[in-house]
Amino acid sequence: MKRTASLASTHLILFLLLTVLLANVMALYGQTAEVAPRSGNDACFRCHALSTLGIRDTAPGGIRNLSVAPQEFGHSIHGDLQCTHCHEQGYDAWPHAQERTGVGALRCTNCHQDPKLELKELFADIQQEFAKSVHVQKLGEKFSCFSCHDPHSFRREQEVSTRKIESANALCTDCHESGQKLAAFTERKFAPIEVTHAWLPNQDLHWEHVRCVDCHTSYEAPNTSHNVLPKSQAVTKCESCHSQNSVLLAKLYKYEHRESRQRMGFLNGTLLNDAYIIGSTRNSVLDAVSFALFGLTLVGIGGHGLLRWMGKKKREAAKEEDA
Amino acid sequence: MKIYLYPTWLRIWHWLNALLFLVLIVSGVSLHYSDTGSLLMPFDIAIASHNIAGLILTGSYLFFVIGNFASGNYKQYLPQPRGIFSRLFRQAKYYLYGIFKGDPHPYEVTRERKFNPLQQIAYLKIMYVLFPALIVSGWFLLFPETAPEEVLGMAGILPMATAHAALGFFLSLFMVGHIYLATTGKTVGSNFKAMMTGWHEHDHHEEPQRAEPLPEPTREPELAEQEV
Amino acid sequence: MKIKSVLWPKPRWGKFLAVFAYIGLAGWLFMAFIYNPFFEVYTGVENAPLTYESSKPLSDSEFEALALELTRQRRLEEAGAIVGEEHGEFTSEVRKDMLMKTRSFRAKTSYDHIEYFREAGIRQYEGPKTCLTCHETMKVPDNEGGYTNVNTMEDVLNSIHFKFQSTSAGFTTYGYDGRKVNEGMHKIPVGKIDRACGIPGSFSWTGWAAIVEAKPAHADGEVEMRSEGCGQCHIGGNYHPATEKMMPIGNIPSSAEEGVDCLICHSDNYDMNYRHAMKDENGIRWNQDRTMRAAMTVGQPKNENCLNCHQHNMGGDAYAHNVAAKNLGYKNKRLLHPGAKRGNPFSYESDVHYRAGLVCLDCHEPEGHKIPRGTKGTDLVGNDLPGKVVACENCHTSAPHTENPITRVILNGHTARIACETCHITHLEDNNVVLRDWVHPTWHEEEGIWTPTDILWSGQPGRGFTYLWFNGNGTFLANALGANPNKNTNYNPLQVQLAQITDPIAIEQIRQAALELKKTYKDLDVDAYVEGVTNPLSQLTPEMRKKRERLIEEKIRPLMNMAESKIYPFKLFNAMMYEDMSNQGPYGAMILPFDYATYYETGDPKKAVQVAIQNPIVKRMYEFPFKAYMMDEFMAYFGVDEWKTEFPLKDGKLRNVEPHWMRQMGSLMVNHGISREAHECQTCHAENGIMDFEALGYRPQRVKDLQNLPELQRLNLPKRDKTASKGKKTALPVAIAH
Repeated sequence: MKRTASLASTHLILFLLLTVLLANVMALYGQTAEVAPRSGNDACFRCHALSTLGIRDTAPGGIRNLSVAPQEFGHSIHGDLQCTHCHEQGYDAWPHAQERTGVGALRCTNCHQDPKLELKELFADIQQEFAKSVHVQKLGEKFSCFSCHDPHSFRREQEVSTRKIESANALCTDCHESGQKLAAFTERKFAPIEVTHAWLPNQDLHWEHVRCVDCHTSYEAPNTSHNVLPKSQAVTKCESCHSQNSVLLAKLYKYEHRESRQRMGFLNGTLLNDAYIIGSTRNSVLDAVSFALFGLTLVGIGGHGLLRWMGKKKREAAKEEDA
Repeated sequence: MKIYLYPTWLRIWHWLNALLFLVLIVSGVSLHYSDTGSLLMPFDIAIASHNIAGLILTGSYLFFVIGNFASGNYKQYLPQPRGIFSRLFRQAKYYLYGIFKGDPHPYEVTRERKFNPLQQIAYLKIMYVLFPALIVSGWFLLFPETAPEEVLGMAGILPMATAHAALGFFLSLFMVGHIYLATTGKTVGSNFKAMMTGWHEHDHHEEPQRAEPLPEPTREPELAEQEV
Repeated sequence: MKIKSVLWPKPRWGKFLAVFAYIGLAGWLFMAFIYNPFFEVYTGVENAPLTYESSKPLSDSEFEALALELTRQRRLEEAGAIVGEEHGEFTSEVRKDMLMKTRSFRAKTSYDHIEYFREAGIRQYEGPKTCLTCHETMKVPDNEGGYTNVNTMEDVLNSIHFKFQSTSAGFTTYGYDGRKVNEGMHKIPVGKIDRACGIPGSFSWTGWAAIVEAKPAHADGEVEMRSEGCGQCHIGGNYHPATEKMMPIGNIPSSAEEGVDCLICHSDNYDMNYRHAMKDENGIRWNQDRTMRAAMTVGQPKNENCLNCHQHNMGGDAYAHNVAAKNLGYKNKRLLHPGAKRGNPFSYESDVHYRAGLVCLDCHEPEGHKIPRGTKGTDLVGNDLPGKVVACENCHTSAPHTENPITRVILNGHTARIACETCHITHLEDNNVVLRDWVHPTWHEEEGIWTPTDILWSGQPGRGFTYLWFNGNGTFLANALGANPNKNTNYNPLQVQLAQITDPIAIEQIRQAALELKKTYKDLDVDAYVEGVTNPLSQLTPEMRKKRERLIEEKIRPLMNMAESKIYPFKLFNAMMYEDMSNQGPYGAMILPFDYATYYETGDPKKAVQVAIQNPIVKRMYEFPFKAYMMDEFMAYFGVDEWKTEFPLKDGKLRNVEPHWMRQMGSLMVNHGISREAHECQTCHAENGIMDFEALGYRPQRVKDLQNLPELQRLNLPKRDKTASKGKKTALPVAIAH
């Protein structure tokens, strides 16, 4: 009797202990769940996910956009990095400290000269070409990598699909088609692209299938498409692309072939690539067959004609004889 | 003897067609081999002339089709199915053998039947199958965005371009043959003259039984059997 | 012989032309002698040549004297504005005098039309005829940067300001059946369902112009004639609205064209005292100011012109700075409506843009006489330029805050979710009417008439207006459509915010109003009354409630989720009126109009309904042609399957007619009365803040977060005394409080 009582009391104590423990855990859990995230990128995104986060810039009508789309950032090549990895100083809390690393201090090459990163050579090439580009020549310090590329949404070249070309061209048209972003760099106004490219037939198709940089950057080595040329030096001859040794092979289709080979294997990728440019994709088999047929026809006609001529001579001779 | 075989509209079409073909061949070849530089003509002029000539060719082809049906000329292109092989053989035999001996044409040209069986079958295929296919594929290349997005895993414009090139080449080849065979008339130049004036000239030769009128289905089998 | 050859010419083309001419002639004859007379009889509308007493010719000397006076008056005003008063009265006078003698000042402060009239010998203003002498056509910008010439009168007649309904697409309204109004093949004329007035929507025929006998207290039993009706705010001067424009064929008669009031919008000196109802041998219509004084000062519309009418629905008639409401009429004074329709005035005193010198047309940028309303709206109001954006962002961009370097960024960030109005309209006018009971009128001693009883006025957030997600569209009865970006289905304003009144102060005020009503209406059950108005869904049968829940999820939810939403403030409104219960659905039933004179004079709303629905146009509504032409479609949008044509009046008695509150409150956009001083962070981001985050569909965890932002604590902003504004009691209208 006593034993059972003591057993019961032990149980009771255990039960109470457990309850208290559980309650504590639950309370703790509840608390952490309710408290706003204060660390990591989530803390930043509490504000910076708002699409209209930004301030009016010194440029007329310009807005400096300070928002970063979390989804897009997550999918970008830098998506695994902490915000504070690049934005080092002064961003631990809000309001942000007055002394903090401004965007001006950030450079792609800050990180990308690190030999541990695979793209070191490429970035060196890019930097060299970029320095020669008409943008830097004309605008100097005002123009940086970030003028075109948003490191928060930058993705590795996935494939040369229409969407990819569209987004590549958007980098250019952001400034060259709309006044707002342009105003931050220059007071110049550009004529609409449709007008400046009025000479180009099938404009829409070209916009869809070729990148601006394919005509507007230098083809000299290392050919990373970052040496944007003055417009007088752009490719304007149709046959530069529309021919068998199209210049595009050195640029756009370099990626395309690589991608399609990765996708479908070497043979299929080479045979079944879906990049067709009128004039460049000549079928050599067809050409050979055509030439052969043409030769045969000429030979046939020549032979036939000769026989006819000979027959006629013969008949005429026979007639003369008869006569 | 002389018969009036080619009405004015047909002659106009024929020579227009010939002229356009020449332009299209020259500009087409220079487009095809654009990387040779201005071998035949500069790239931009080649584009313009090819496009314009193609456009006019489409119009002239429609004119030809309509004229053909309006005038009844289309009947000339319809071969009689029965005994066709024997007739084809007879014509082929003439071209490959009889012609050298100076044999008369096996099928004499009449107003009712101006094409020989070989011509009939070749022209039918060319004018009503290959020619329109060439034109249609050309239009697709002129408006590439209308071409099918994808055919058998390839960009849809590729088969169009291949077809256009192959057809263009084949029809050019046909043109060469056509010109050569045109020399097989009464004299070397008589068929060319006929196409200018409309009056066809040929020998009314001695064997009248060969100058059959338009074969009628009832008579045709016997004739074929006789000859085989 | 000759006549025959003219009537039926020999050549084939002549016959062809003749046939055309005969068809045209037959059409004209049909319209003039068959359709138009028939239409007038069928709809009971009246047309007659319109004359106005105020249109009087001036002699040359009178003209010159008036010209001098008007010019001087304008110069004095403008000089006063430049000089200011800070230098003392005398110095100001001297300076004004100097300025008024200055050549350049004089050149830019004269009325150019005075010179035009002088040259052209115009000494009498005869209505549109006079304007059209020179302005027969006008240039209207096309969309390609150029201009097209349009016929001015046609441009006016086809504007919403004249016809105030539209048969075309371009509404931001969706029917409760999920279809966008007038987007399909069957387009019906719809214009305005505005339940703050007793003559909603298409019933403006029954309340176009009325003359009411009032017995005000101050007149010792003497009868005073007063004006009332929709026509006071519409630019047509006829005996009825533009009825002809409602029909698929036919056009308004030329006599009605003569009634267009150009000057109310274009004159600097339009005297609203001429705007009163008047009776002539053909019926009652609205008088106009057609004096030379008004005509000589014409120009582009200024704020005062728009506000002649629009302050009535923005600030309200009782708004202290409503200028038009101070000039009620030389006779038959217009009746004022004490409760404000929106309670957000546009005036120097109440709106920052007015103070900045902006005019209405700066934002509502017109194209000819077509004036854009904006691309967002909950209520069913026609829009002349549906695609044209009227928005804060047009000028302010999406980054409007520039001053405070700490907060500007996050404030700009807020504009992704929060509309500008949400913070920058902190309150509405105190007399903003939320609940109006038409069924239990109250004697208004001062005016000497029976008026509808306003049982709740409030300009406070949560009571007079609320915050809802809004994607730019509304339902047929003006409920904002939108969704929390998290797509939480707990956000359901048609069942919660707009179908329940939970604010204890509001409930208490309603109870007090009901107790007050009980003094007049002995049978009134106060508890039931309070329940009916605070929980309007209780008026529905259980089956109907089920159907409503289902239909909301099926038809309305997709519309709510359709586009990106932001939180906007919405003025709340509900009214108790008589409804035709043969035509009822889960959102309400067809409301019946009141005859103004009967209502105001007798205080018998039932009788007022009986009189009003005997108007031929209401009878026609209950007949087959109108059922097929528009009513079935109208009711489909209303959430009712079919229009039943059982006329609600039989043998002199109303049948199947019941008084009801609409089953949910309407939510009307408020966009004016913008103040620079906005709500502060803690006004919303606090546990007892004005924004009910939970009802807005935020998950509990996020609600807690939003109420206790850790970032906010670091900012150390001064705490605002919320209890002061929250607990503020609104003065009730005199009629109820006496």
